[in-house]
Amino acid sequence: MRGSRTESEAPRLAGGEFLTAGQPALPGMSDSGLASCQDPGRPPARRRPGSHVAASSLGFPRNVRGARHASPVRVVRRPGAVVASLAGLVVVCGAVGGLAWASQTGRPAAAPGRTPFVAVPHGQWAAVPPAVAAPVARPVSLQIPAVGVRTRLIRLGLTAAGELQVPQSTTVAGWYTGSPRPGQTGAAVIAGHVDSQAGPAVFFRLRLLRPGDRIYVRRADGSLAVFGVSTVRMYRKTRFPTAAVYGPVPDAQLRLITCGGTFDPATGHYLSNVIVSATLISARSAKPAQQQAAEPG
Amino acid sequence: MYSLTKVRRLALGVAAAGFAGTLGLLALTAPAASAQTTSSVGWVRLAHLSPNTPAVDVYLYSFGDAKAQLVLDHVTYGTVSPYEQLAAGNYTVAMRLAGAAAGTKPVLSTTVDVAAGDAYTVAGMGPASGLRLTVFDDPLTTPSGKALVQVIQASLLQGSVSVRAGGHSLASGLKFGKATGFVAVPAGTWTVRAAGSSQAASEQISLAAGTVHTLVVLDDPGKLGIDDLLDAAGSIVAPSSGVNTGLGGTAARPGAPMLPWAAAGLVGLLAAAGGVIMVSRRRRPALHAR
Repeated sequence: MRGSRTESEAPRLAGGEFLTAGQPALPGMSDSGLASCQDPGRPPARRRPGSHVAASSLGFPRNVRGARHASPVRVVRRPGAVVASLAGLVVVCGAVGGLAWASQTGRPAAAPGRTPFVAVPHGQWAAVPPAVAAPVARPVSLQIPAVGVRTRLIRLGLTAAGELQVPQSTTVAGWYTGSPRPGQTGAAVIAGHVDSQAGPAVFFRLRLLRPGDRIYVRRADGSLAVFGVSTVRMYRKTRFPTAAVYGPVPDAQLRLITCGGTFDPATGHYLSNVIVSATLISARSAKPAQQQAAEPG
Repeated sequence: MYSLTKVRRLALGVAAAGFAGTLGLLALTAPAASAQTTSSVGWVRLAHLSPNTPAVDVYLYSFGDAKAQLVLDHVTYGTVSPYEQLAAGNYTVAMRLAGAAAGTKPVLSTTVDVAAGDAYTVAGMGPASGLRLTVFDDPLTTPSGKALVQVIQASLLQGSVSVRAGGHSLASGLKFGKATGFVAVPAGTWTVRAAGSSQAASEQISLAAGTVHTLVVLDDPGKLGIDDLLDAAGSIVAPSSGVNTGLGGTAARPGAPMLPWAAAGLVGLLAAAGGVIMVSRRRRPALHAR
């Protein structure tokens, strides 16, 4: 029997003692796993003691009836498996193409690029901040040479919903009239857009500011208030630090606000705010440096 | 069945790689959290509020540092310095008579523990004979629509004073060298009147919403005076929520989702692997059959 088979044996084989239907197609894998790969018209995973290695060297099982090892008649015994393999490869190729396409559809955030040159302002400088609030003229323009900002300042109020107004134009910044004037005791608030729908706006590079960078605010009387950046931070709008931005502070400070983080196309808004805090730089009412240096240390 | 096991391993490996790749894609698309640093500065101001104490030099030392960080020269009665921004930590405030050498023993000294985001006033208070340094913790939050006000009684000529802002009582029978603590006053411009036993003073004082004031009742040579100190100021009204200052023109735009493609690829790989296994398995038993 071994090594050969006659047609008369076929019914017995087909009858089932060598059939493995019901066994898992793969060890450890359930029948359902590859059931769809099998041709339902043929017994699956048949064990045939007489089959040759050569007979199925191309993966095409022999026909039972014509099975003679001397002259095998090659018939595709399991077209389902082959079709599954080919179909799978086609799907893989399609998916690779899809991934390649999907990876090209995004757009990276615009790079800050080169900072335009803005000269350091000159002219009448802010006086020492007084302990008692003295009249300070309203702010009219803002210059931040470190990030190339030079803009006039419009006035911003509140919307009907109680939110801070933002400038209609994306090329100018605005001072919130409900906040102290820049140079007065308290935190003056200035807001500007990070971008328009087309590209960068007045505060596009604001997040690139670093502690120590200078901010100049020109006021209506021609005087100039000079601030030094203390912090640059980003907050989720849902966790906006209202007290830190708008609350009382004991010295003259500045808060510059723009947008940052992730843009939500559904709402048309960014999810975060970038907030720059700065403190008025001025001569202090302390002893001059050389006198302090003369102290015994 | 070794070969079959190999095929299975290969299939499992491909599947694992697919899943790992998918996870990697997901990890790449997760937004990176922004790093934040904490601010660590507080504020201190120094005041001379003892009427019969002569001018003093006021020194501020960072704890453990023999060299003064700040020196106020020749500070006379009624003088209040601006707030000084200081790193949070322990400080020592010392007073010496004006002109005394920095190395001499101070007349008075006290320590201030400066917490980040807090403001303090260190004031020389009381009569010269009982001069002391008092540390006030100045508030930096105000109730909506109101101002916070405290009164310091620094008049030696009037032993006690009562202070009103319009109809609001700010102090009643406040003794020399004492302070009231801060109370909320509706925003507005008020006629503030301080009255002692024999003298009174009156000032128009604007108390804006979101501001903190200290009113010092002083001996203005020969008469009573009121000094209005603006301790802190904020916005009159704090706008609600964040600020919409961007229209997205420079935002990174997410591409088409990659996950469906990755999933399809994975399914295709599994199908192909399954087919290969089915086909190859067909011939394996023969090997063993021999």
